[in-house]
Amino acid sequence: MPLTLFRIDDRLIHGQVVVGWVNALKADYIIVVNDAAAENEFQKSLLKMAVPPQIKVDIFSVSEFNLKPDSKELLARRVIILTSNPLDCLRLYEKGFKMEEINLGGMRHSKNKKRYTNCIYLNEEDIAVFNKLIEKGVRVTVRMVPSDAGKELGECLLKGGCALEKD
Amino acid sequence: MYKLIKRTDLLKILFRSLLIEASWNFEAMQNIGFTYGLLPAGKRLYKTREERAAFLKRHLKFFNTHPAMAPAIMGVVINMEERHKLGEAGALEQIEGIKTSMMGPLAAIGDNVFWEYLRPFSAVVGVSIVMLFKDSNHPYLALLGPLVTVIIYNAINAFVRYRGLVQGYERGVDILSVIRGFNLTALIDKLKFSSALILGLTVALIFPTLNIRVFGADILNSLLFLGVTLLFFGMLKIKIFPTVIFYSIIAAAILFKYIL
Amino acid sequence: MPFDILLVSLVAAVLAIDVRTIGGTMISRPLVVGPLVGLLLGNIGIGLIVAILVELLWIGMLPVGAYLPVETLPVTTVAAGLTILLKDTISLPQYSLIIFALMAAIPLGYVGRWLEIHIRNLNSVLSAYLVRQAGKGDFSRISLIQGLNVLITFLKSFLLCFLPLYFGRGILENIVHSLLK
Repeated sequence: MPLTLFRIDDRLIHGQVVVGWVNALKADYIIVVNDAAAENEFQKSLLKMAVPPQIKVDIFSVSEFNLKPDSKELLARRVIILTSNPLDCLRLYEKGFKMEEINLGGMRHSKNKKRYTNCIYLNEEDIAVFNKLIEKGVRVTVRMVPSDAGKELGECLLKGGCALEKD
Repeated sequence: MYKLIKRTDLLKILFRSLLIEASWNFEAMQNIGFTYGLLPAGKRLYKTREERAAFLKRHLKFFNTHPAMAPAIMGVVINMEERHKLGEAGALEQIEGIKTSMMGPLAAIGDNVFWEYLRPFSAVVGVSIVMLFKDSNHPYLALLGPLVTVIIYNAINAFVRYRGLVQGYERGVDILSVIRGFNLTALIDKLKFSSALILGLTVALIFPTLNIRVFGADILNSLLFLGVTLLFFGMLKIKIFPTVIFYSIIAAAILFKYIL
Repeated sequence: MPFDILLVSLVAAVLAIDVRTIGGTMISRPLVVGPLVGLLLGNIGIGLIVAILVELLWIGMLPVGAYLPVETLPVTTVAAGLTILLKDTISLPQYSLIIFALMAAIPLGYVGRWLEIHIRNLNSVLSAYLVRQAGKGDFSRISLIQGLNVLITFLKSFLLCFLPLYFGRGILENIVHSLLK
């Protein structure tokens, strides 16, 4: 089974991931790729505590992470990979982890970031990195939880924003 | 502990933490509610305008977690704030990192336990009680249903909030061992099993009293009931929204009545 | 009758403060609101039935993260309220009347959510304001904005229950009568 979800979410593991995605995808392995988390023991043990015990959690820094999408460890499990920003994704891509699709789940507001959906705030640099990824053929889909209507990021950027709620 | 902060402050914070979602916003989510919760500690520790301004700037940043888990983070934060005021170097610099490290994982635990399991479980128990007494000789006993739902949910809610805040304050970042000790996954397993059991029992007890007659024979009616239930279950499984199902049934009923 | 409607709407609006504001003690969920409305209007049974129907309709909806669920409180209050208020003037079986009332009330859940999105956007502005003013070190502004939001939630839910109950009564009665002719 190939990789089930490659997600950008700056809160890493939280409710939407565990209650939403893990359940919907029946994932059994979560890999967090994040430099800050990898060297913070406190955060590491919290991230491991956040999920039910039958789900394996590993935390790597970008340079430590050496798996490929077709690595045996990934093919044998249903995997969710979490990063916190587009730049880390690009670094992974350039290292040889060529993901096909990125799920853009959440990037919080900070100074000079413009709102694109309820939970996605981006600045110029973020958009430039996303465009590079899109040029490389990566699909970037904005989707907070599985029950959202997924939207292409490219479309969202053109329109200056989009709504995710359906029903 | 309790060198500057008083136990009454913790009590105030516990009640204020109930309003954590009041000023929820898309940009910084629970930042205002979180700061509001901490104010009794802020007032106790800081008296000058500069200190208070710095306190506000520290805590009005992005924050979001499950409401029931927020007191635990507040407790840890107050612990750090007090240590800072007592002159411990470096305490202040850690606060932001601790807040952001804790909020996601605690949200995951809280969402999982409270929304995913405790909420439906308490509802199942309540609805079952209502169903059992609704048509009995004592229909007012059905009111016990909602009451039991609220009590079950809030017993666990109150316990997690209180213990989170006090232990967070007393232990600081060592709170992790306490959260692990809540043993929430074992709780989830018990909830899952109990929900299924209670639902099964209710259906078994209620079914003979339903008395729906479509075909005139009880067995055929049972089969019809089972079929409809399975159909709805299937529709929900493939993610058709319940509202859509509801309106379709009505449309079908009207069609059936007036056209056929 | 208008006094009953006022009372029910006020009680519902107080319970509504729990929905998002208090972060959920469950007193705002249909299972509690329905029977309470029934109790106030003199028919607990209808309140319970409506409550269970609304609970089941949205059983899968979880308020996870920034996701906004449909608001079940005005749906429950108005559906139960309309059924009880109209049951003596409309000659329909109880269950049919409940279904009609529910159909009329369900859109209110979506109106509630739509309003909530705007309230939260307003709060983004207020949050930015508080951050700008933080340098003054004034704690009372935080409490003021919290209070304002409790008030807004109260008013929103009061209007979402009161207006449909007060004006919807006659409208629904006319619709049902013309359908039955």
